[in-house]
Amino acid sequence: MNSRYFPNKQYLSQLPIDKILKGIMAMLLSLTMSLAMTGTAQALQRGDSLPKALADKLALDPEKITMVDFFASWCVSCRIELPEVDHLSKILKGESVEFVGIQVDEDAEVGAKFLKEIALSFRVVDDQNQQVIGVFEPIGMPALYYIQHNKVLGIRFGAIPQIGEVIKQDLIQLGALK
Amino acid sequence: MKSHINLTISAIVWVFSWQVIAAEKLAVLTADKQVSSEDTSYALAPKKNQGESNARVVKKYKTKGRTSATSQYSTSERRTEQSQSLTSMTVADKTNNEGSSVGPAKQIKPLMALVAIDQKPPPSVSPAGQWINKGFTWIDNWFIDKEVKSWQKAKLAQPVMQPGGVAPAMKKFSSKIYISKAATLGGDGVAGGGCGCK
Amino acid sequence: MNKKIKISVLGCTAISSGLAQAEQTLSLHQMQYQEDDDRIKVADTSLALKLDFGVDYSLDLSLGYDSVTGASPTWQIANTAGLSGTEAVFRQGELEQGQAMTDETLLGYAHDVSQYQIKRVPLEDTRKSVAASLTVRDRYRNEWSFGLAHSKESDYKSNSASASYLLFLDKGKNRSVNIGLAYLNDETLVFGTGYQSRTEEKIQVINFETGLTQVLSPTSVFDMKLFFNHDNGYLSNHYLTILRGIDLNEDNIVTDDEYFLAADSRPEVRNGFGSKLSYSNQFYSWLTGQFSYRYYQDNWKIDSHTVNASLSFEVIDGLFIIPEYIRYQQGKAKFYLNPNEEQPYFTAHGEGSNDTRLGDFSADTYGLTVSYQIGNNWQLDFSVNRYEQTNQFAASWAVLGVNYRF
Repeated sequence: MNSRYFPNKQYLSQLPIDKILKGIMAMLLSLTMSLAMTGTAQALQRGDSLPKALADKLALDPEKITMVDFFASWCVSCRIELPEVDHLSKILKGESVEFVGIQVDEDAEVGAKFLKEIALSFRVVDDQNQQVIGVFEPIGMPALYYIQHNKVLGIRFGAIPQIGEVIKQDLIQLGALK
Repeated sequence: MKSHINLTISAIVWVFSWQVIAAEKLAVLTADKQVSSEDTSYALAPKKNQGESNARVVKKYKTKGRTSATSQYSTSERRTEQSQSLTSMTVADKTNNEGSSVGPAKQIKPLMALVAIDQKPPPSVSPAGQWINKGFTWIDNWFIDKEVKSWQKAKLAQPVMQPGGVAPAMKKFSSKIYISKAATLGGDGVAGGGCGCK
Repeated sequence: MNKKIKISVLGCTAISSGLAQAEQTLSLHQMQYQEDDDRIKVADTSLALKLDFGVDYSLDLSLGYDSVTGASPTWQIANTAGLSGTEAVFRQGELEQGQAMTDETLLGYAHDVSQYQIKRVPLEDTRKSVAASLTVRDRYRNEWSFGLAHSKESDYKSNSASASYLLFLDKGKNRSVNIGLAYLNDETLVFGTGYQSRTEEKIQVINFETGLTQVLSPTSVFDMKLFFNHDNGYLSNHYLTILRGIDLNEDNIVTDDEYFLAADSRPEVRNGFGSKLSYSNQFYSWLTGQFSYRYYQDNWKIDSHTVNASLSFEVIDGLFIIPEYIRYQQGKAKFYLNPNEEQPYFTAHGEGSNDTRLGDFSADTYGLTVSYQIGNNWQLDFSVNRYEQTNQFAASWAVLGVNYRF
């Protein structure tokens, strides 16, 4: 009866050990990545670098200073700010600055509709499952991150009046503009 | 042969960049204090800062861990070193530097000096709010399962979740009626406006 | 479900992390109110404008126009028509004699107590009102609100100013406290002895309110409020009357011919306080419930409980059907006598009121509101309500409104 439930020792020696080990390593690695992605690590602060998986997903140009803007359709400050940010992105096109939007709408339909409405001229990453923002963990919406070489140079949270001017000054301060 | 050289150079660069990154972190923390006392325009002096931070890197290079921890936000938040993020960060750096390590070492692009925006970012809660909150933190322990993050407020922002609902004007009419036909008033918000209907 | 995007100032600012309204809204609402038994009828029109200036400033303006017609029941002398000259003089004399014996205003005299009946007194009035409120947000997204309001009808004028502050306590803006104060300065024209004069009386009201709002989960919010009211001045209702027995011949017995029609008389000070607990929960994306309980008590010995429950069903995109039920229970004022009971007479001195609104009763409200958002800019609201008190008072009202966002 035992032989039915326990494999023969012969079979044990025939198991593809190396494949199993590789599988376990892969699992551990992906677990680490997913942990890093879900933000059990602390929120990204100034000076932090993006976890590799996230950096790969966002595929930011490391040479340029990227302004990452988290927004959602329900966040009214975001809706006030986005036209200004969009306008700025058009002016600064081609320079050493790039704009990337990250939309965190949970409702896909509403999000898509909003995106169509605002028609941004810069790239928008869809973060419906809120994985990306779960790593950044901003304390307010909208959240602007200045990133270069996959490192956070500065952060701006919450509703800011005259955001276009503020971003311009920040970029000058970072040396991206003159 | 070539691949061996590449591997060796990469390994050396990897080891050193790991040290540099650790030191840079220190530099950033201490740079906060440095920079806040200056009011220079950073557009003019990035190189100078870099030189300074490099010097600081050399100094702090010998020490392990941090000698002081500066918190960017309120004191309840502190940056703790995450070995995970460090590992993944160094891997990222390795990728960055690997690309540029093919060829002479002079062409390795230096990391941009971390210039702080919002030297001391304002605390997100006013001092009065922080003080009053001391009396209410027990609510978090007793009633709150998990803190609702700023990006999880989609449903709360909907009109249907507001005190007035989707049609708040209706409540204005009915509250006037209840005030004039019954003897209770209050609890609907202080907005003034007598109606002579008591 | 493809939900429409619409945020309102109130909730955003109370619970969210730095949200502010981006749209301007113009609304027009009209209410038709009718009491049972052909009593009072009111048509109330309200025009409101909400404006936002950037992320830091909001302005609310509103205009109101009410017209009231109908009749309210109160004690009157049954048969005043066809009085002979001598009879009128006699009655006047008795009235003056009675008035001399009390500080309370007397309004009429009839020979016998049976001559007093509860009759409908017709009234007709229009009321115009205007209110403005400015909200200012600081870098922490805390809010100051300042408001002014004015209203005027033929015998009542009201001016008020209010200020309130909303303070966020935690980083995530899930907890906030609010505090508010309003001051009202009102004037009313009041009948003098025998309805022969009118004097201006003042009323001052201070309302104070403080509260705590806590976000419990991404789909639920809890709110608690404490409020205090202080009214002083002429707090009586000068349209209403009571009956007083005054011992004219000082024989220590009040006989049937010693009853007078008198003005409703309430204390000059009213201090009340209460608390309100509210809870909102979005059970499913199409179903949200709001529940509240309020307790109130004052120095007139009135106390009340109010329980309110409403459910919002989003039937299709942007179409909401909201049934609502309110249960209200009130305990009577210490100077109240039920006019429908035996001998609801007051003495010569002291307060007295037969206003059933100050009595013991409970009331049910059944309401149904339908709100439909058409496109991005228009919203139609419609509501019907039925209100029934256990003291045979009942009313129905309907409201129709349109909102335009631009």
